[in-house]
Amino acid sequence: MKAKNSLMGLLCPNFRTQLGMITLFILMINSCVNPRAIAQSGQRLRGTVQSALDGEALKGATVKTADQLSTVQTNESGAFSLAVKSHGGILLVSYVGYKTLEIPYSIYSRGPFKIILQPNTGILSEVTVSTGFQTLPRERATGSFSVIESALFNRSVSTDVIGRLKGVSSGLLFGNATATNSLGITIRGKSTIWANSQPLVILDNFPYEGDLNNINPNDVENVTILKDAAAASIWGTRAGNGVIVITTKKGKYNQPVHVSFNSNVNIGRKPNLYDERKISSSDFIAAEKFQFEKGKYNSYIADGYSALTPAVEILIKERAGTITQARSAVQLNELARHDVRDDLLKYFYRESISQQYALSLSGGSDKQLYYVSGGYNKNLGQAIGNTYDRASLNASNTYSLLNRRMEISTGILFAKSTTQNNAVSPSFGNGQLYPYAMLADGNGNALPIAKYRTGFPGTKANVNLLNWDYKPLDELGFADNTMGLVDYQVSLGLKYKIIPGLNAELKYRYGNGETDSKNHYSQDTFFTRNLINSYTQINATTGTVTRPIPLGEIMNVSNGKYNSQNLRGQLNFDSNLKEKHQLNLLAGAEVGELNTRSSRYNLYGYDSLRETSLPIDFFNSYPNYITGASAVIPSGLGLGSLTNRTISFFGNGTYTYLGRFSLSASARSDGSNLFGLKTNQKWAPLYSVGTGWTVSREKFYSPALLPLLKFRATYGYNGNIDKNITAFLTTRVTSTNRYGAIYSAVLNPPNPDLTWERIGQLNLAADFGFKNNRVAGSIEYYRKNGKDLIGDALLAPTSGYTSFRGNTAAIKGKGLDLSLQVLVIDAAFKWNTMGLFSYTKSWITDYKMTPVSNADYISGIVPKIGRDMSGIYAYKWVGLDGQTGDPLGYLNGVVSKDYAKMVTGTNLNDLEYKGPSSPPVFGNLMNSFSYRGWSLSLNLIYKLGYHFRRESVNYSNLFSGTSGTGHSDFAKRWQKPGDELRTNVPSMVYPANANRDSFYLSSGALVEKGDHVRLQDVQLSYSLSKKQFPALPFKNVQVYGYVSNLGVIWRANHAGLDPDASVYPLPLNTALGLKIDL
Amino acid sequence: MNNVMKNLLLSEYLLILFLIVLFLVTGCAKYLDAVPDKSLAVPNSVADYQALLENEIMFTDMPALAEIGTDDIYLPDALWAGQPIFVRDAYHWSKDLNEGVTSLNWNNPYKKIYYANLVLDGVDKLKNKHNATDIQVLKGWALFCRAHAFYDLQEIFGQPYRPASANNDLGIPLRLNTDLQEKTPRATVETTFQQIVKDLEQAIPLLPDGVSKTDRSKPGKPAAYALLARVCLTMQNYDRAVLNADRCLLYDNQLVDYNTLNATVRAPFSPLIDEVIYNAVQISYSTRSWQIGQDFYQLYAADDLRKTLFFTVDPVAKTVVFKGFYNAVLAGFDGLATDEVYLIKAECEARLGHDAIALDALNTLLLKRFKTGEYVPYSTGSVSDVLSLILLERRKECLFRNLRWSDLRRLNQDVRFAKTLTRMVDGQRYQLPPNNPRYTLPIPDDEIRANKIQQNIR
Repeated sequence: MKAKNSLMGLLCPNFRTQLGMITLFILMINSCVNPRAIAQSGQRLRGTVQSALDGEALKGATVKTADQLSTVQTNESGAFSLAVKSHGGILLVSYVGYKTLEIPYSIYSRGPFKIILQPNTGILSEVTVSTGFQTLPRERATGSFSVIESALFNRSVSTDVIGRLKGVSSGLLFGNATATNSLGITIRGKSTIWANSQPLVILDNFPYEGDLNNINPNDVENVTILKDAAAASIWGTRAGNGVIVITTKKGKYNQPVHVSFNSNVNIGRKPNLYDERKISSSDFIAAEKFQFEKGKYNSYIADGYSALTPAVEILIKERAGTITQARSAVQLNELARHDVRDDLLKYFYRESISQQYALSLSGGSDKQLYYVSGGYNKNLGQAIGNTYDRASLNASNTYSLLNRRMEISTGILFAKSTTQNNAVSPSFGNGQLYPYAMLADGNGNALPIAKYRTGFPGTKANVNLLNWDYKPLDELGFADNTMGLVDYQVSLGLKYKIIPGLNAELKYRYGNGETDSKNHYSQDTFFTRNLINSYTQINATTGTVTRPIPLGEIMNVSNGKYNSQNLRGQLNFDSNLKEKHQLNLLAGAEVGELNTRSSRYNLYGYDSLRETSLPIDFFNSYPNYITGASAVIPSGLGLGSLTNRTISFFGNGTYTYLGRFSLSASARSDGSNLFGLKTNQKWAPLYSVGTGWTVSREKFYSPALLPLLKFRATYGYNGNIDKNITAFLTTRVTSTNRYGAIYSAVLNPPNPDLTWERIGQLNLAADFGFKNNRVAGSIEYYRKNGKDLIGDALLAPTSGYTSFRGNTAAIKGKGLDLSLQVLVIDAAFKWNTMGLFSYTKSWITDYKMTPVSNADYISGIVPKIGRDMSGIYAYKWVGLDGQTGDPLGYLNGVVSKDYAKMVTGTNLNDLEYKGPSSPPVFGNLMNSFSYRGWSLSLNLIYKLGYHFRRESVNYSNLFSGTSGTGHSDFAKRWQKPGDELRTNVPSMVYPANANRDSFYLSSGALVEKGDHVRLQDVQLSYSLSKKQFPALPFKNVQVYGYVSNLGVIWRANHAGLDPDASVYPLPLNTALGLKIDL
Repeated sequence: MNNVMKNLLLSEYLLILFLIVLFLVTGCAKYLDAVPDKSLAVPNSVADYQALLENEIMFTDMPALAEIGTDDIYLPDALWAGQPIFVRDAYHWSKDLNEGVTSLNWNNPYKKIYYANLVLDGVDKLKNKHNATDIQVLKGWALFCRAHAFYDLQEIFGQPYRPASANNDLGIPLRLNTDLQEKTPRATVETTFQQIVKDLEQAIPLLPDGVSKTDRSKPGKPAAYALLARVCLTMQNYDRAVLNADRCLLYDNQLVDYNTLNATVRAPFSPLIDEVIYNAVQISYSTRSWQIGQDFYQLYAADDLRKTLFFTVDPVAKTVVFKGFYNAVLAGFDGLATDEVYLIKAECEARLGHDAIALDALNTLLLKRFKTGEYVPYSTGSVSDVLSLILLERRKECLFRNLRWSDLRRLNQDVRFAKTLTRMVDGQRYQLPPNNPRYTLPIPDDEIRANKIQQNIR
């Protein structure tokens, strides 16, 4: 009840003010419409200004006399009326992004003029920014927007939309995907510690809840990045990480049909597996021999079933005396000659091929406009067996009714894709494949890899068991794991022009997506044979065989569904008042719902021909044929159902005086079913205010050198939520326990005060354009202040929990975004340079959890006040002990090798702070050259001022199980006194000391500078247009080539590592394409 | 005129729009009440609270760090070297048990206690809505779980129960509510045990007489009596121990005849044998192939079926690997079973001077452990030291069941049974004398820091 009252209170004043405004506005319109009064002296010139592009009226164009005595801006319908004193002269008509036109006038020629402006082909074209709620000319915006226009967006070749944003916008950093940020994109640095850190993605008007891979990049008109509070705060509690607004192509009124076709083929090299710094085969065998001598494998040998590598089997024979030492050495040398990567590259990887076809049709009459497109992509992944197919369809229509007062728009976006994940990564036993494994013989026939000890459960074929061999290369042919996806978005919009300048809008979108994953294992697959065998029961006395998992195929099914609904009601008001004042207001409310459902289950005894399966006992435990341990048959059963609901109220207003001075304000209030009642009742809005001043339009400003100069300042708050925390004590039904009863676990202890995170941001900016637009750009400075961030607070474990997660943390940040475009040469040969520079830094100012040990600083679990969130700490490195090769560090300032104490120690002086792991400085430099139809562009990306941890030998991992993982640094390890002078790699010790390993791996010796510059891509294209060659059957045809991931051209680290590479650098891609416009 | 018309028209549209918004906003509060995740529940029914206690994976995962320090376990150097560092440390009773700064052995029992307290607080509020018996059972169940967790913690992190000094010795923090911020100090050993006894005595009348043998993650009266008997034995209160053992056996006295089991398989006790009253497992430390020493193995008689049902002997290396887990999941059994109850009864009767009754209980058990027809029952005439015999049989029957550490702490107080443990590890000799402070394990650092309680001096 209370909530409702406060809501009404929030709404009503809005409506009253609006009513008042509107009445005022109507009076003004009337005075405009009937301009009877003519100036006593001089004359009045009239006319309309239109764009040559589409014939649309240009509102807000400046019409002034050359003597600058009279000036006016065009109204809604592009019309102007200007009183001039003189009897004749020159009228200057200008509009940002268009060439200024000079029109002579005299008493005999005073209009009405029909002025058609030609677009400016220079670099600063008229740009509109979209927030998902409105589109407004950039010159009126006070906030920080980056617009990636179609040309720049389509410069790169990719199947998806997001990949094309790399290196084209300042403040936008591409990193690796994380659990809370699957896109891996951050805008102006990370603004949260534990909550969602992914920017909000808007497709046209609403958040896009489906898989972004479904969107055909050819349908994208432009992308706007909303960076500061003023730009993004209209998105309220979801805007804290910035917003990416994707606007799709639409038809245009009175435009003849336009057909465009685009196709390309993109070929990626095989991954360079040799770039992965893996231990060599001979070193691995040496390590195995070392462990063998220490008795490491004895317990595995004793159990009789654990898989052992060929080298260990040879060593067993040598120990048993069945082969001589010399023979053993020969055999081991033979093994060492193999490198499994040779086989992997030959049989498991290929060059990736992506094909893309897109056809679109657009146009419009004066009452209707349309855009229809279809796209098809077919990708063959670099891992053999992985493919991706996508067909997409996009149709949007807008109808203009009631004499252009009403606009109805409809849109359908449809995507259907099929993903095959049939790649096989060969494994051994329960773990890693040893580096000298052989996967095929000389004739390409599959070779087996041990999953259990050779000879167990009997190469003497046990008639009661299925063949238990595992041949990875054969598995490649058996794999059948397909995911089908269907996604569609249907939207409906209604816009009614109540009076000129005021319209009401109702927008609705329904989104639905379904994925259907079927991992089908035929009885040929090792997976099926192994599972059936493992559960097989053979009665010791009678010999009766029972199979709890019946013969046949196994099918693991999982389905996911989502549907989203958004409904928004909005009033827009936009008009010039008395020609000097321009007001743009919008207010409305929105409800949204997102439902996600998932289900999964396993089918046994499955028959793919008849689509049947057999009933299974999921309740009783059966002893494993090999280990004897009892377990139930995995049912794979799982159900999930998530619901997110929101109600929001929003308002936004911009006031511009004389086209030079702007004020903006925005507010949004959100309620969500994730918050507790307390928070929902408050309806506290997130807000922003801003101001902009185009100095260059002031009369006193002499525009000789710098014809464009604009200052902007904004301040406000955006929000963010952590969907994993709710306000109540909640328990989650996890599954059924061993006895078939449903059980649950406490998900989070009660947190009644839970609220959204708030990120305050101050943005100060200047936009500038030098003479003839040869140099243009902007510089932006911002400060961030994150409050109520989700953070951990320490609890005594006796409470049942070791920490508590709530709104306890705070951060601060600052940064600089600089973008510069230089038209170096502007002749037949053009040289255009775009430089982007971003600096961002954020640090923790409040965090309740005190670090428990130095290991916590190292692992980065506990953010440290005053330090960068991504800060890297390292154990101070002394070197290696000359006698033992043990790594040396400090314990309470004294050189030590008490690793356990060093790891659990609390003396921060034993650590060194290396700086952030996320680059504080990054950006790019793109040079484009064009001559006639040719154009060439190169994009360099740089990331500076950060560090990363290099990998090295981890003896615990090397010794883990029967076959561990090793690093090539093993070859550089300390082996004898004196080696400490040439290496930092510790000696091999058995048993491995996990603390010694983690000390070394987290020490200063392995922290490298991440700074690097890479050549991201090169694009070359050749265009022919009908204008140049009238004989051409097309309006325009373009052939283009695109090469990406050209690699690092400069790096600060001496280890030759690509800091962006997770395992090995992204392989080089080469694309060739053709684009035709009819 | 025109203006007026426009205004009218305008207000009409605004009214319509306003009504739409109003329609949206009405029921705002209800709309936002939707549960975000259907698998989430704000517990408010017997079923919700029962689901918490059904979390048997958590409730039956028992702390077992101390078990590694007993004289039952034997790790040859190669096997020892392959263990995680804290297992290696615990094996030779290192002063610092380097499990890191936090420990599952401490945290997990306290998590159980939080759940139990949550149920105890919550079910009281359900009184009017639900069946009183259902509520009682849940309450009894929660009390049993809390008592069990307290006991497990006490036997690892609390000082041993010594009747003379229990009022001064340091026990464990006794958490009796769900307040996350509360800082609970360590209670004395006496108070700790009184709380455990109180919880169990309160639980017994609330619990059902028995539970289905297919679901032994739930306690019934026999489980509570069996645990209470174990607790009283630790307190050296033999009267009460035997009383509760007898009561337990009144409800459940099933023993399995080992002659019915197949010793050739890898896990002979599959999956749950009738002897088990309450099923639980020890936190697994990947102690692959738990071994015992040859000297211990030689204590089993030739006709003793346990020799083959409990162990596999490697023909070459002569190592004796344990396989007698009562739950066939290849992790230490840490539940309650009737064999232990028979042995408690036997020991206490012997200590109380009732040798005949004591041997009778022992014979009942061992008859089921020997080859049919081969067992010669003990009689008061044939045995000189009944108590020593029973204690030896207890060790032979209950190895790797997380009982030995407690027994060592208790028996060391009696000079007749005090034992110095010795280990040879990697060429180095280690010793743990009787009643050494290292019989109390260190409390994890994170608790000490957050709660400022007293650490155990080792």
